[in-house]
This record gives sequence, structure tokens and C-alpha cells, in this order.
Amino acid sequence: MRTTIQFGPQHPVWIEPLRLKLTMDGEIVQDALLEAGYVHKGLEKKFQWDYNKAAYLSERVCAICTQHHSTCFCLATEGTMSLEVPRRAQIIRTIMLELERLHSHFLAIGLTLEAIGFENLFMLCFRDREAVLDVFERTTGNRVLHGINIVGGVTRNIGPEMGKEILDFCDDIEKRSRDLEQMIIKSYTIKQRMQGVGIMSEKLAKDLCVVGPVARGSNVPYDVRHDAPYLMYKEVKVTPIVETGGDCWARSLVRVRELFQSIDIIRRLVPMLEGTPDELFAKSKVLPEGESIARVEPPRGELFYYVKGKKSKELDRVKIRTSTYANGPGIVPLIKGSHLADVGLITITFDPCIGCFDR
Amino acid sequence: MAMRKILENIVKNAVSKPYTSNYPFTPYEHFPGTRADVTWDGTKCILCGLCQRSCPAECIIVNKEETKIEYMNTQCIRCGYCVRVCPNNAISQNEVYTKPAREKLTVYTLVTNENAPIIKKRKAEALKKLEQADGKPVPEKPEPAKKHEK
Amino acid sequence: MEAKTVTQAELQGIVHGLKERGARLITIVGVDTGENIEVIYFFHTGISQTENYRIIVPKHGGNEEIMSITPLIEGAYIAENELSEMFGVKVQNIPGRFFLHPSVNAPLRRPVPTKAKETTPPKESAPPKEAAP
Repeated sequence: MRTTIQFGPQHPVWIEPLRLKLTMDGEIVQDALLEAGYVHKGLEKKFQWDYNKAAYLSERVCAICTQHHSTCFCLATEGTMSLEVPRRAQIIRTIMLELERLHSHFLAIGLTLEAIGFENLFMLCFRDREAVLDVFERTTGNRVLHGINIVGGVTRNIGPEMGKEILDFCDDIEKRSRDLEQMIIKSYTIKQRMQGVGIMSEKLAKDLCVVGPVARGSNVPYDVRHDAPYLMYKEVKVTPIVETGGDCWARSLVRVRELFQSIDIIRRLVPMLEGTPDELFAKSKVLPEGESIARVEPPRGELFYYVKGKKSKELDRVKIRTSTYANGPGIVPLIKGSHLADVGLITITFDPCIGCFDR
Repeated sequence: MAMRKILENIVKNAVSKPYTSNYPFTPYEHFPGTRADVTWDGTKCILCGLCQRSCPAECIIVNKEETKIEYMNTQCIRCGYCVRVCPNNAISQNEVYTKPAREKLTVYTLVTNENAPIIKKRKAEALKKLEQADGKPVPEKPEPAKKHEK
Repeated sequence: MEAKTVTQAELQGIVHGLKERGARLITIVGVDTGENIEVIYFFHTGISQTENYRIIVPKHGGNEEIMSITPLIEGAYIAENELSEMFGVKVQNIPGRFFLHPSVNAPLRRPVPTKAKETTPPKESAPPKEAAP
């Protein structure tokens, strides 16, 4: 006999509201229905606004991948005006993007471990994340919602003393990440809990067009920094980190290995700042006209902006497609046939950001 | 191997002092360059209105007849756009956050700059009217009003 | 960014060919230009290469209908739902609601601009400007 369970909008496992209506037969899930729209704010209508003020609106779409949203919007608008950004601003933007990947992956690993029940390591991940937020406060002035990206460049500079502090910080955080890797990869209990749960095959990943660590954990090597390079990634080459297996263990392993890749990239970028001329932004002489697109790689997947101007200060149409928007339909086929206790764990390893999903 | 690392971690946590600071009793140590709320300098502002036009949160109202600037502190998002846009550098940004409160806070600033175009025009008209009434030039300037904050 | 304008029947053939080549769909975007509604499809085909296709749907008072590509590419399900509920364009075999409450109808759709009447220009000043949509 069948029962219906609401994995409802409010649940202690997730941070944001999302509704799953499960039909159960004993302990196994038979069917699932996904409903979203609980935090829909109608931002695409508000974006038809002054394009300088819209840069501050675009970083408030998501609070964890904020620098990527504002950089992508600025890249798309600069494409409609055919504006060339100076080199020092490109290097500063790329350093900020890699620092953001560090703090978001610490948060995602911590939440996965809390969903299993391992609270000590969850507290340790958040303690290491505070070191990254201190670096943000020293360079940009705020821990989250930085506000240094404007259409045409950046507003704050990284001088030689700040560059040396960032390199010291890299050594410190590498030591902490090595300790974390030792505790996770070589452990017996975490592996037994997460291996073989929620397997996504390679054919399903290609059919549903999923992005981010969800795709890279299922042997699909898709990474925008490698497949369509932007900013400084044309000079600093990045190879995607791929795991076969497709289960929850593989997706978490991709995130742990990407921490070390980001630290390596920051160490190669900071010496490039010396010798470049001190220009931070470029003023444009024309208004936005025509259409243009831009793609970047936040820690959760691929982000896509489409901007159309109408030769005035206000924009005509802005469309945002985030990573959870593409991964969302992938939850339903994985949940069918699994136990009820695994539903929360499978959803958390997808790293959902419902604020990005609903806009 | 992982067990040994975890045990080492537990022992280290048990004997050291807490990692968090005792927040309301020890004050928060901020880094230089932190962005908090914004104050106007009444002797430099020329009442052009550029800060009102460029604020994304629409929390600044420039009143040209009464030469006053109204700033809704609770609505401000601390972005710093007005600081960059002011042509005379009359706006400066503090570094210490405002404390939690129960009512909304609004700050009024009186502008007393002699070179502001509106104040100059009013003084020239007042001088001309006095000259026509008396038939001789006025000897002294009137006293400037003081700046007050509510 | 260039986009090729095609008809709806040609699009089904093009998508079939792209799927066999191994391309992936990025997203589907709807734009309201006043007279028509344009639907643009973005595909990723190689390193730094994208192919974009555009179809034009003329407006006639609501409830226009277009063909769906979800039977070919499953990842287009949410994008077509959002297109249909934001612009009022029906897509075949797709339920039209995902984000909005049932009382809200097509918020991003704009009214069709009416042309300003041609007045005879007065003797000294220039003729009046057309109203913006």
C-alpha cells in the first residue's frame, strides 16, 4: 500500500525551500515530483534598469557565487559596447574568482558531512572558511557581496604588500586542506556511507545536459575554463578533474581535489601583477546596443548571461541561466528506487542553490 | 591512519582556548578599508544632485530650496557608489558598523558652502534688493548657520 | 554574436543532426520585440564555438503555439516551461506552469506598439517624435 510523504518546503537538511512529493512503498521511493518557485522574486523584470545600477543588482542573485554573477554580467554588457578591459583589472578579477571557488567548496563539503551526521568535520570546514573570508575583507571591504566589479573594470587595487599577504595565506590554507583531505579520503566510515548511493550513468548525464561537479563526477569532462576560456584562462591552462563512478563519493572527491587546483592557480597569478600599468577601469563612449552572451564557471556549474541593449541607459532584456537550473531535473531519476534516508544526502551532493534556480 | 589524525584533532581542541571571540563584550576588530555608512561634509557640497541620481537603493534626497541632504541610513546598502561619483569629494565612508537598533535612522545635513550655485545666487539677489531699497552697498555679511544632525 | 533565422520545421532537422554530432544544449531564451516574439536556441559544439538559431513567432493576441524539442533533448524541459509561462506562448505537450502562481499571466509580454498618426508638419517646427514602446 502506498503512502505519500512531503519532503516539504521547509526541511532541516536544506537551507532553501524546495518541494519534493514522494510516493513510497515501505522504505523505497517509487515516484517523485519536483516543485519550485517559493523564492521567485521576478528579477528579470527589474533588470530593465540603468546598466550601472544593474551591476549591483546582479551580485545579489546568489550570495555564495556573487563574484561570478557580477563578472558575467559585466562581461556580457562590455560585449554589447565593444569595450576593452585593461590587463590589471583582468588579473584582479581572476584572483577574486578563484578565491570564491575556495570558500564555496569548503561550504559544500561541510554541508555534505553534516547531512551524514559528522558534525566535528563540518565545524572544522567552516573554521577554515573564515580564513578565506578574512582575505576578502582585507581586499574588497566586505565579507560577502563585495561590490568591486563595475562595467569597465574594478574599483579597488591589489598592491605589492597585499600580494605578499595573499601568498602567505595560500601556504596556510594548503596546510589546512591537506589535513582535511587526509581525514576524508582515507576514512572508512565516510566511504562506506557514500559509495554506491545515487549513481548517475554517463548516458543520463549527457542526455540531461548537466553541468559542474555533477557532470565531472560521471566521466563527462565539461569545464568552461577549458572549453571556452575567458579572462586570464587563455594564458593559465586548466585541465578538468574527472572521476568515473557517478555516485555521491565521486562528486565529493571532485570538490576536494579542486581545492588544490585553485590554490595552484592563485600562486601563478599573483606574480603576474608586477610590471602591469596601473589602470583599473576604462570609460566607454557608446551606449549598449545589440545582443551579447557570456559564460563563466562558478563552483557549482556553468553560468550563462544574455544581454540585449536598446541604445539607451536602460537595458532591454537580460536572461540568466544558472547551474541549478540545469541540474534540477536530474534529481528525480536518481531518487526513484533509493531508500528514504538517502534522499537528503543525494540532493545535498548536487549542491543546490535555490535562490539561483528561482531568481 | 585517518583515525589517528582525528584523535589528534580532538585532543588539540580539548586543551586549547575557544576559537571564537566573546562578541558583545570584546569589540569587533575590523580591517582598514571596511565599508560602513556614509557622511557628508556640509562645507564642500555644491548641491549638484549626482549622488541622488546614482544611488541604486534610492536613499538620498537632495533638497535644493532648504539646502539640506536627507540620508536614510537603514535603507543604504553600503556600496560606495556615491563616494566615487561626487565631483568635490564631499562624501566619506566610515569604517565601523552601526549598532542594531529598534527604529529606522535618518540623518540630515545642512549645506553651508559659499560656492554652491544656489547659495551664491540667493545672496546676490538679497544684496541687490538691499542696494535698491537703501541706495548704498551693505557693509557686512550675514552670519553662517551651524551644521546640525538629528 | 550571430544567430541564424530558421523556420520551425527546419529546426527539428537541425537539432537531430546536432544531437548525433555530440553537441549540448545550453538554454532557450525568449525576447519580446514589440511586433513578434523571438525564440533563440543556444548550442555548444566545440572549443569556444557556439551555434545559435532563432525562430520568429508573430503575435496575434495570445496563445500562439510552437513545437517542442523535449522528445529529442530531455534537458529542455524547464526552459520550455519558463518560456511558455513568461510570454504566453504555448509549447506542445508541455504543462505551462513552473514558477508562477496561477493568478499571474505572462508578465514579460509587452503591448503591441500603435503607430503615431502622420501629422502635416507645421511651417516652422519639426514634426513630433514617435512614442517609444
